[in-house]
Amino acid sequence: MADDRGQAYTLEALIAAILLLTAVLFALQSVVITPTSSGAVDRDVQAQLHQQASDALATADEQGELSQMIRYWDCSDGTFADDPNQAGVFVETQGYTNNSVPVSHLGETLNRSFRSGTRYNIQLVYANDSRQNMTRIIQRGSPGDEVVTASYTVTLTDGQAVTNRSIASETLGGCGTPPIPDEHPSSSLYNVVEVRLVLW
Amino acid sequence: MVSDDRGQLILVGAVTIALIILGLVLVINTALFTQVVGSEGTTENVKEGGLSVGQIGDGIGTVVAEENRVGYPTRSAIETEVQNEIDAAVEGALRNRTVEGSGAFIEIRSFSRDEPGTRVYQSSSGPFESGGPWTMFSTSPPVFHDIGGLFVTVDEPAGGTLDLELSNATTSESLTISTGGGTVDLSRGGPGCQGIPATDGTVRIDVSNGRAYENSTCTFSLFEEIDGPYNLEFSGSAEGTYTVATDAPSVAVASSTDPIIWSFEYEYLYDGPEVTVESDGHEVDVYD
Repeated sequence: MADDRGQAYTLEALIAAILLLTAVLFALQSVVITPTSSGAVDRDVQAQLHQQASDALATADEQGELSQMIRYWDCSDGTFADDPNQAGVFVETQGYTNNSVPVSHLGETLNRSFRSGTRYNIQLVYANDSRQNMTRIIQRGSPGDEVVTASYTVTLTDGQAVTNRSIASETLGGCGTPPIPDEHPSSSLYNVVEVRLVLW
Repeated sequence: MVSDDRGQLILVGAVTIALIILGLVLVINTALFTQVVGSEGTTENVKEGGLSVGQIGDGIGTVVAEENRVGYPTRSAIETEVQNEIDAAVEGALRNRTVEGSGAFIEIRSFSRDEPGTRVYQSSSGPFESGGPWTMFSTSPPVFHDIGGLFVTVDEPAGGTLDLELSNATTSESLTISTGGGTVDLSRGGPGCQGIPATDGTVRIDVSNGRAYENSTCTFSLFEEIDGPYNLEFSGSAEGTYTVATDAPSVAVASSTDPIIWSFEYEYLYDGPEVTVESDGHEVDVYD
């Protein structure tokens, strides 16, 4: 009988230990597991980021900044123009070297709107001979897995001025070698450009 | 002794049941969290490639502004031309953009001019309205209207200043543009608006949006500082050209005027993957 009791004590102690361990494990797991524990950005955070990005683009368009940026051309070499004041040199494959845009406020708005650690690219997507072309304006790297994309569409017409400072009063329709082609030569519509803001 | 053993067995049994329940809770809990994390998806994007209603209206508005700038003898002629542009190019271009972005289909179902307006401009470089002072509308009795699309190109070599005074019934705000010495200074805006270098002898100033094209860091506010409706006065000896639009059917005697469409109405169909919208008429001010 005494042996049985010893065995029962042992069993009880073992079960109690397992119980305690399980409780501790459970408590730890409850703390560790969150919606973002796998590295994904929370759906609400993504939606909020997307809304902020959309608002930033809409505000920029309201102030004429998107159109001004899209029309900053160098009509002599078919690329976007260098901007000595803030954006720097335009390089075909990587956009502006200063990671800024040749128009005030937009870059500041973006930097102010998003928390530090959020990086972004700005791309222009437009039709070219019925195909889609993409030009990088700001290229801060390749997006990670958690990408949020917002876009705003801007319509260009032939009579709008090229905004590059080295070209006075030249219109889009009169630009010798434009970086964005005139997709509708028989119409006053020039092209329709999607400004794409990619955040991660 | 037998009762002691039974008590111990009951205790062990209870602990075992508690352990089983705890284990089950743990398993179910883990499964639930796994499901949530899994549905987040590490590669899930929140992407919206479609056009909003505003962007469709903006697109048509840009074309209307272009036809206003071209200049036609009647507003009816502008309306016809814009309709032709919508049919020939605008609708297709916006539709392609939308389909590429989100798979949605759009159709601009109707376009009609709404409020009439007048475009006032000086296309030949010279003193602005002969050196002024020139006001867009009568000051006695005072008349005020909406004004937009004010764009000024100043000739730097000619020198002199141009004073633009924007007023409403109670207050006024002004912008002074000073030329000479190879550069142009604006009385508003930050350091970027001082010493703006001229390009081919000119500096282009988008007054409505508060920007000078010749320096991308120059921004200023004039229209934001005062509520409409407005009157606008030009004075000073500087030379150049300008264009401005108003919702008034006519203005005081000026260099040149053209009838324009100030606002329009349009209806559209938006057929997206998740939603189909048949809109009522949307009114858009071209120069807002």
